[in-house]
Amino acid sequence: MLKAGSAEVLIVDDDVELLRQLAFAFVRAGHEVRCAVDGEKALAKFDAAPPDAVVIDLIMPVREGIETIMAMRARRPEAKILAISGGLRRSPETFLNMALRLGADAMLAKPFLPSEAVAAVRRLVGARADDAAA
Amino acid sequence: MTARQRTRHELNNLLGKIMGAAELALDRVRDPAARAELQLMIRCAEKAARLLDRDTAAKAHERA
Repeated sequence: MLKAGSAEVLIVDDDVELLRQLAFAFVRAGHEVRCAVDGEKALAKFDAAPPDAVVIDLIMPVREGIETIMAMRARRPEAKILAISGGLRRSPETFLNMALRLGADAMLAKPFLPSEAVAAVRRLVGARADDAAA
Repeated sequence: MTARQRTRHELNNLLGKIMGAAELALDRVRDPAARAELQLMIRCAEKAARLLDRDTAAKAHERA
């Protein structure tokens, strides 16, 4: 059982250095973390033990982020998903906006601080707790 | 994805890691001068990202 305010977070990015930084920040913030380096491995971990939240990059080998988000959303409509990517941040036609339309709950454009990702997930998981209480 | 988009994506990834490394180091460093340097790294990376955005938007405008 996780302590109050903490969440199980699945972080998905093919950049292992970024993955390590994010994992460190989430663990430091009191969350439990699992990592995957592509969409296929992420889906396997997602199916094995659904996390409270997913942080997922959009441009990855093997299985792209958007395709993975759609698969996760189909399996668990209540999943909380934060899409991250390094595309143009202010354009309406970005992969991130596409991810929002196709199933992500929130997006974060790279570059961002690890603390910003932690805060975004905290908002998502808090929103889920509010849904459950309603 | 075009070559320009790929480059932008890679640059944003690199800037993200610079910002991430600096923020994670800030958690461990107490020396005020070292902290100021790390904070400067974050501000510079953020500014570089804004410039990259602006440049990409300008290029898109030129092509339109």
